Amino acid sequence: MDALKLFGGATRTRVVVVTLALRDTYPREVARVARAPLFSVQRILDELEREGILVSVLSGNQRRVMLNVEWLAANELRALALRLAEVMPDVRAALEAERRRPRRRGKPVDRAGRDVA
Amino acid sequence: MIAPDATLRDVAFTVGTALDRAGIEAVLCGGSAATFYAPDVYQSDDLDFVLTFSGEGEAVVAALTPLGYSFANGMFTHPASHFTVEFPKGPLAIGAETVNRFDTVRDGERVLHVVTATDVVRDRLNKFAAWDDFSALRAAVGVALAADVDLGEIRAFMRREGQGVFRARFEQALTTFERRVRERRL
Repeated sequence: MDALKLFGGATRTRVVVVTLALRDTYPREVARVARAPLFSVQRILDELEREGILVSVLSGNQRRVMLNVEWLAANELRALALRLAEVMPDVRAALEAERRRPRRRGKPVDRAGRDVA
Repeated sequence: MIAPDATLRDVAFTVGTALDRAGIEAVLCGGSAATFYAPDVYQSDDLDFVLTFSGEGEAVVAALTPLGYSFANGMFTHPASHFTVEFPKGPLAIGAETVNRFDTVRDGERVLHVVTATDVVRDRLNKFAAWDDFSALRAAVGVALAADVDLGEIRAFMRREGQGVFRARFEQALTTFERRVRERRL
C-alpha cells in the first residue's frame, strides 16, 4: 500500500494520525512513534494548534499537546485517526510498542528495557 | 520446580499449584492473564496474583520459598527464571467494578485460578480507553481471537464505564476493538 497522504504529505499524515491516536502526547513521543524528524513534528503540531485542533500546555519545560476536545469535529477526527492507524502497519506497531498505562512504583522493566505488564 | 526455559504458563501453573496446596486462593490477573490466554500475541514478564483473602503474606512466602523464590522489594524473584511474581493489593477490580468470578484451569495435577478471558478483555480494553495504551488494545484483540469471550458483556461494560465526558473515549475504544475482532486483525 502506498503511503497515505491524506493530510498533505506522508510525514504530515503520520504525524497527524499518531498525535490524534495518542490524544495527549508531546513532540518527542510523536517523533519517535511516527518516525519523523522532531523539527517537522513541531512545525506540524504548531499548525494544528493554530487550526484549533490541538491545544498545548507547558508542564515543567515539556510541551504537552492534546486533542482539543472542544473542537467541533474532535471525536470524528480521532475516530478517523484510529481507523487510519489500523491500515498503517508500521504506525500501528510503533503505537503498540509504547506503554502508556501507569505502572506500579518499583515494578521492574522487561528484558527489552520496557515496563512489564 | 521452575526451569530456566519455563514459559509464563508453566510458571503460572507451578506457582498457582503451590499456593493452592497451601490453601491460598490466588487469581492470576492483569497482563500475565492476557499472556496466559494469548501467549503469541502479548508477552508479560511478570505474574500478578490477587489473593481472595488478604493477610496471607507469610503463608505466600512459605508456599513459594520451596520453589526457589525469594521475596524482596515487594516481589518474588527466582534465580532460574526472569518471570517475577507479585501480589498486588486486592480486591480484584476492572474499572469501577469488582470481580468475583474466575476460572480454575487444570493441567494434569497442576491447578491455576485465572480471571476469565472475558474479564481479561474488559481489563485490557478499559486500559486502552483510559490511557490510550495501544499495547493493551492489542492484548484485548489477541485474547478475544484466541479464547471464547462474551462480546455482549464486554460491550455493556464499556458503556457503563464510559459515562459523561468519557463517553466518546470509550465508544471509540470499543469501536476500534470490535472492528479488529470482526476483521480478525491483530
